[in-house]
Amino acid sequence: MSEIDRRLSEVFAADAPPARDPAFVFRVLQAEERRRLGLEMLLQGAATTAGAGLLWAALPWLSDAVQSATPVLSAFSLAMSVVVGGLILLRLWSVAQMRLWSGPAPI
Amino acid sequence: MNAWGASDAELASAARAGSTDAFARLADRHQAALRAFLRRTCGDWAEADDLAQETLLTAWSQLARWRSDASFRAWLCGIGYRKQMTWRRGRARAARRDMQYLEAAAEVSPGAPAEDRIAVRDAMQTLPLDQRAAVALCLAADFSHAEAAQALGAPLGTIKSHVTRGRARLLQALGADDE
Repeated sequence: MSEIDRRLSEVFAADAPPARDPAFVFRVLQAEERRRLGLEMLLQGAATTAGAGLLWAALPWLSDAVQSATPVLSAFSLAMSVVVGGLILLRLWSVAQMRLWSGPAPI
Repeated sequence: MNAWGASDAELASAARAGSTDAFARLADRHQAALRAFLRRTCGDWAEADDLAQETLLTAWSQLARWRSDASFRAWLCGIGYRKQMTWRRGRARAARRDMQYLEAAAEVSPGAPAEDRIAVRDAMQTLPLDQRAAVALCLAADFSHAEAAQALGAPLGTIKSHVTRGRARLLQALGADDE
């Protein structure tokens, strides 16, 4: 390498960043996270607005449907409460029976 | 495979599948080449680092476009080069300020003598952008002519002629006689 080529190489070497730079990579990852977060917020905002718009448009139909279904829904929820309550009581009863027949716990 | 573990293709594949760690390793591996290229062609180091960051973000979102038989750093520098061209269109009026910045940077940086740095950087700024980019890749960063052609999207012969002319101009700026 001639003297002048060596000088040129030295000038270029002065511009070179470090071979590894975790701080720079961290800034890149941080920027990507910010971009993704912004995109996610934008999408969620759009979805929320669209959902609210749909609900608003369907409100007249929905209120009629809810009013007409109220007696059926009431009877259904009463029946479900009785069934679930009965199941819980049965379960408690079977646990109590098992404890009664298994005798005292060993010391 | 290289000294830092998985190959570029393996890391890119993992990054495409959503691995942030894989992309971080790719970025860590190639940031020096990308930033050096952008610093040499752009002149403004802070701006070059911002462009490098944008380049890596674009690369991340476009990883599917990289062909694993091509050089990853050349692909990355290609994205950086196009970003720099876009950025350059809007900055002509800042050129004067940049030259003052370059002179100041050359005076405070360690290594080569300040007058050599100023001479080379002034000469680099007088080169057309495509010629400067070819010089920055082939003379300063040890890219092969083929890699530089891939990065800059130019024919091989054009790259060779850019490098020859650019080198002659830089050597002249350093005070060499015509070779």
